Amino acid sequence: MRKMRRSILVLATLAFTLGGVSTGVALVQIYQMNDFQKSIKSENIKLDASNSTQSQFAPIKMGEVIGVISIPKLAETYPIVQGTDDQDLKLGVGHYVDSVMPGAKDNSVLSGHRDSVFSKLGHLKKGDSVIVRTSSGTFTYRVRRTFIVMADDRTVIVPTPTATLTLTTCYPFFFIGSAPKRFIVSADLVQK
Amino acid sequence: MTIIYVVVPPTIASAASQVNLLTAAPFGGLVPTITNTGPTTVTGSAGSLYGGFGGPTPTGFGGVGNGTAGALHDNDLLAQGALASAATAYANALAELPLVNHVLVPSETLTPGAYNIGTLAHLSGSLTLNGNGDPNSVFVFTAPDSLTTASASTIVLSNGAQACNVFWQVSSSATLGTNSTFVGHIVALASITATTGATVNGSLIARTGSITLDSNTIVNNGCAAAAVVVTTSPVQSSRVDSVTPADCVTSGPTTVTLNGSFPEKVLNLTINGVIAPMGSWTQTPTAIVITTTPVKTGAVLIQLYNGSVPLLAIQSFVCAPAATTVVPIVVPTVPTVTTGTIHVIKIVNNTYGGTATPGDFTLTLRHHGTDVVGSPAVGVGGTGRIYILAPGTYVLGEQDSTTFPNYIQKFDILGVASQDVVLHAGEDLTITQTNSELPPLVAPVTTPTVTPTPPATITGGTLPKTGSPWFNLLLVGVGAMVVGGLVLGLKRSPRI
Repeated sequence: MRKMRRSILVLATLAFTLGGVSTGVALVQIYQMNDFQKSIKSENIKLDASNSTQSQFAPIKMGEVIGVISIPKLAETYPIVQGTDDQDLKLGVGHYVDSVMPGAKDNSVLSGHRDSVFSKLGHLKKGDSVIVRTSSGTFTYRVRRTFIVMADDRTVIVPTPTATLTLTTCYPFFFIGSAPKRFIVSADLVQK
Repeated sequence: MTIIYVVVPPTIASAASQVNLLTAAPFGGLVPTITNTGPTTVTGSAGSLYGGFGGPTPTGFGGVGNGTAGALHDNDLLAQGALASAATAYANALAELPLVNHVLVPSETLTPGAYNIGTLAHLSGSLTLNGNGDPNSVFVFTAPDSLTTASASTIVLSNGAQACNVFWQVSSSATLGTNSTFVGHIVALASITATTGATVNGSLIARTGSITLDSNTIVNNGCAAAAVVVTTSPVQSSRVDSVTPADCVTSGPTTVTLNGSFPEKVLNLTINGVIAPMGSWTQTPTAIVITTTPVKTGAVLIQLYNGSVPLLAIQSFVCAPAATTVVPIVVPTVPTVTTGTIHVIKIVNNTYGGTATPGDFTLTLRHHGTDVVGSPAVGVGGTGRIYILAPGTYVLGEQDSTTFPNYIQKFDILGVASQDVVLHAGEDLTITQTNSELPPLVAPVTTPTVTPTPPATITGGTLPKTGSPWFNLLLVGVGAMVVGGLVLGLKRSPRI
């Protein structure tokens, strides 16, 4: 009996210690991720004409910066990179590779981490503007609606007859663990 | 007295010797008339003369359809000389030849001699004069009254007889029939009429009346040279004292003056072998002045004759070259060449399958760092691109090509691997710039993960995972802390 109690104590101590360490590491990582993405300023992103010419004829590399997204209401500006894998999303807002480029006459899908770039996406309301600047130009979208779907919803990433910008992130924003839902923002192109 | 003198046999050495012809009548005081109708010609290589002494100007010569007189001598020394010679020859012949009475009959033959053909002498048919092989044989015919010849009658010379040695003395007038052929010299006291078409091989001399011609041919080439023994006059040295103008061309006719006293009268003269017209020259006691038409250039030969006897050695002179107008030679101004030409030839060698052409590269030609007119410009093969430039040093260059970077440049400036071109005025330089393809790169090519930009958004895409794994770790760590903390808390509890 005494021997068992001792083992329990050791395990409990170990769990408490490892849990503390893990919590600390996670918090640091989450903090750094926020800090890293916020350090990327739009001024540092160059979208010159030579890249423009090349991007029209050459495929875009994964992780390559293709533009900048600005949300005036949130006072946020982040780079847009190609791809939505973990490696890509660490760099900024990811462009869903199977969707058209922002500004095109179709549904362009951009995704971002709920705990970093899109952490305040829930504040957007209908009528708010989202500005995307790429090598093709500057495109201003107006938020049409926001809604929440399940993570496995297949009705969000679909073609649209008009130029549409779809922003996705995980939901709930403060869920511990893998979020089961997605927060969606649909915006219409109003100005090129 | 009127004379048509075609032949003047000056001195005859023959068996008949000298014949005195019509010596009685002096010259002067007569009014001769010479009338011609139709295309009469009066010629003769030994000197053709037509003479009237103080009479009216002969009519019917010159102009279209009229007669042509080889040389018209109107009452001049030559005409007088001709008559005198003929008279002398005739008289001498009569003096030596027994005068035979002989009435002409048609178609007879006569031998040399002196014949009194009686009054109303009439020649018909043909009369043959047989010279018996002697070219100096003389025939003298005396007509106490008139002489007529029938139409188409002829006189034929045979066996050496010459027309120059045939004389007819007519005391009144002579008439030659239509289309008749007459031979010999007629000296008529009154008149001579040659009817239409009559031909005379000899001369016609009328002293007191007239000579009437109608479409006649009067010709005499004189005695054959071999038959004439010429007693030449003392020949003076050849000289021409003046020629005006000297070039024989300027300012109209040329006047040639031979100064000095000539021992004999000049009866005719030739210039370059052509008998000078009567009146174109005059003889004075101190000089002979010849006025001739311009003879242009070269040597001019003048021969003076007393009849057929040259009086002087040939007088010759050379017309001075005409003053020539100096045409200034305009030397064209050769423009100073102030530019040169550079041919820039672009050559591309596609050794490894490349497709670049000269036009894919851009060449520059600069002077002191500044592009010349027409630079930069794409390359040109063949004869190259042409630049016309002022003399100086130019630098050939090439811009980098992003389309065809895998080519190496080579410059060839007149065989030297340089980019500097020294151009001089007037030069035409050809320089080449060659781009040769390099072997393709063999270094491994890293193929980045690329994603084509979709033409359209897919349908039913899976929403990306926008959560962070650190949230899972955070969840586990917090859980472990809670469990561990609870266990440790219960351990210290007195109830356990």
